[in-house]
Amino acid sequence: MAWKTRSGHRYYYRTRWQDGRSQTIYYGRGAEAEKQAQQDADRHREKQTRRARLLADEARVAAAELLLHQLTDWTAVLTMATLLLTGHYNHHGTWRRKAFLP
Amino acid sequence: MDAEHKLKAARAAAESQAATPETKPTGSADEADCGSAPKADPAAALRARLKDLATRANAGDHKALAELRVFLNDHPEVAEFVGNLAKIAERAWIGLVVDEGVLGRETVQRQLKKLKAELAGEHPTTLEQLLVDHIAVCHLAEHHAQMLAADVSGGTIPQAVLRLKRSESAQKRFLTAIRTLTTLRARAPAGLAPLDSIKIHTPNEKLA
Repeated sequence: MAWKTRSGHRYYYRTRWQDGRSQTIYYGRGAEAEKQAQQDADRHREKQTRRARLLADEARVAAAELLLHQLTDWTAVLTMATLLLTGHYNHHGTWRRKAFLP
Repeated sequence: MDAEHKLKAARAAAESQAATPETKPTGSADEADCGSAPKADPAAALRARLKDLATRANAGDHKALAELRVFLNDHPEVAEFVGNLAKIAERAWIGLVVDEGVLGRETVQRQLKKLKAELAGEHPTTLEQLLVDHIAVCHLAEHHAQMLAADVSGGTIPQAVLRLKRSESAQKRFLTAIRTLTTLRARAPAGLAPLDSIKIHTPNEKLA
């Protein structure tokens, strides 16, 4: 979507992908061209806003995920320590009781 | 792009907020100071040391087992730190699940409180309470992932697939958290025992 200057005049073109190839539509330089340019600009702005909101949401989720990962690591290691101190050992993911306590 | 910078800054902020065992839950993760310089992470160092000792002890190293006991006795602040971390994480996830609205937030908090009370029982140990808090946070994360996966309003098919995968991962993590609590209670059932348990036989008691 762009204004192109030819022989000192601005003409509006819209390019889109259709049927497996790029198509360029000519709108001239009159009221229709202005209208189409405005519509494209609005659509672009809306898309940018949506994208920014999506990225901001992603950032909040990433921060929360990080906290959850840290919490998961801590609880896992504390559970492991507690079970080891109560006379257990981990055998390929399964906790078993030691036959003889040290 | 500004939002991409925000993403990086939020990650850095979350890391720095949970960096030290002395950290108190002062606000949600997104309220943290995003401009602060990266600090050394003593909490991660403590965790790594604890993990190393536990791994060695599990491999049969008696010295490591003794060191592990001493380490846990010398660092009682770890439990408080993990408790604070759980509170911060919970607040962050509630903020995601309930975007706006006091009523929705209050409802979710009440449901969580009820869930925690049911899971913790009457006399939970410190570790059991931490595991219960962890389960609550996993529950929120799973709920959030399911909400996103069910949202068909927009996005491409790969994005929908990604949301579905996230939902599955969150569910697995939730189930793993529950299994950890169950394993602990089955293997070291200290928290479920009532404080004044009935004694059928007391060896040293003289009846007459």
